[in-house]
Amino acid sequence: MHISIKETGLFGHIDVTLDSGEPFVSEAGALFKMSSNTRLDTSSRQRNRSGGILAAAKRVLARTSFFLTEYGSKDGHSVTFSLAPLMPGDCAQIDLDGSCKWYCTGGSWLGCGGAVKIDTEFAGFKKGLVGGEGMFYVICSGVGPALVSAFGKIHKIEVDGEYNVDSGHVVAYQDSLQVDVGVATGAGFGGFVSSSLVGEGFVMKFQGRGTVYTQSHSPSRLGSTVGPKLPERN
Amino acid sequence: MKVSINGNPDSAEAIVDLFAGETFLAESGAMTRMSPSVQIKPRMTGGILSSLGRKFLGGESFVMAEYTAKQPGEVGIANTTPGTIIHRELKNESLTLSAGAFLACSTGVQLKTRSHGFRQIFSGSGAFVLDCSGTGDLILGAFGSIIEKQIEGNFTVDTGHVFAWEPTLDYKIRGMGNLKSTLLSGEGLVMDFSGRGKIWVQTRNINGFSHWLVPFCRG
Repeated sequence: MHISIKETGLFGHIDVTLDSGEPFVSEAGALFKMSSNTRLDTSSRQRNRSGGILAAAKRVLARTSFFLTEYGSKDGHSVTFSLAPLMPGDCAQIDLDGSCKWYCTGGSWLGCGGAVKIDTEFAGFKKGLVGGEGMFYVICSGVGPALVSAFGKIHKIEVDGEYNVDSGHVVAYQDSLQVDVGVATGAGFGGFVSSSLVGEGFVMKFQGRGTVYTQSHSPSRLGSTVGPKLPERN
Repeated sequence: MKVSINGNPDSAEAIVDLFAGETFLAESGAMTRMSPSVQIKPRMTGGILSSLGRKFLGGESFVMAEYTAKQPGEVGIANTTPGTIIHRELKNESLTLSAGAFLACSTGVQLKTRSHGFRQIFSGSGAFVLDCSGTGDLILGAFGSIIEKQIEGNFTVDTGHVFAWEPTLDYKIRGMGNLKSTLLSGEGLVMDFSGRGKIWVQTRNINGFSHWLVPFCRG
């Protein structure tokens, strides 16, 4: 398997080359070009895994697609295809070594290959409601490459100690980190009021040692800038 | 305060590194990430009336966020729209900004909102401009990329694309058509600059973008 991320500013895409028999799965709708011998299977679950309708419905709540696309070869030769995310922004490859799991938040999961399994997990009421990244997160575990996409530029942050990321700016993080949701302006009701005043709402507080991928832009901030300029729907 | 910018020209984020005890001001909601040693406090700049004017007429936020580092730390700042961020160091100088251009500044920079004229109120691109003066760092965020241009003589720019200019320049706002078409359509305003100085122009316009999006949003 060979994965290369084509950097073209805000409009990157991913080229994947697979040998026959190598597994790869992506979000439905991410494929935009492929060699003619590529075989596609659309399913609500990953190959050789249980799950089905309920897992697929949970995936929708994690802002990813109901269906997954599995890639293979029709003729036993290697195949090449390309994936593109929906929004303008970076793509990143995360290589899993089996030692930890990765949480992909806010629909950032794009695809994965090798022996990477995907599951969906409830983020918890606090993180889900105010964390700004959806009620469910996609979890990648196992060994192999996982691909994520973001709105804007991706930054990789090595946390050692403590670090805060504004809600809506988290792309993915390692499960070795402790995560809590809070306001950046201090504890209590006073902290909450001043946090709303400065427009920062909530932050995801990471603690411990591990890696966090962040995105430079927030879809909800763009939405709240453009939204008031649109006429009401009839 | 040390400023580094990643991701120009299309998805910039400014990282502000602060020494212990250093403070800077940023547009509310602009923070993307920060060290736990940094504290945020709401701050009104220029009094209640000027803050209210900025909020309701200028399209900027009523309250700004004041970041103070108890210990050395960093704060990430980004614009709402995809685009370029620029960093200017003012040395006892002034710069005038269009509504929405301001992202952050250090404490040595004074901010003052100023009414921009009657016609501009109807143009939808903000009735107020922000005068920045003093000595310190200034961080600005555009929609699209930024074109910097030295003017000697006359130059005309669409109001929605004007980003910042040096106050050594004079300007007049006029409609591209007559007054009636300007008032009714809310578009077609331009700024005629004259004199000597620099202007910065942004290559996209949020009002134009929103208009373009409308037909695709109807279900």
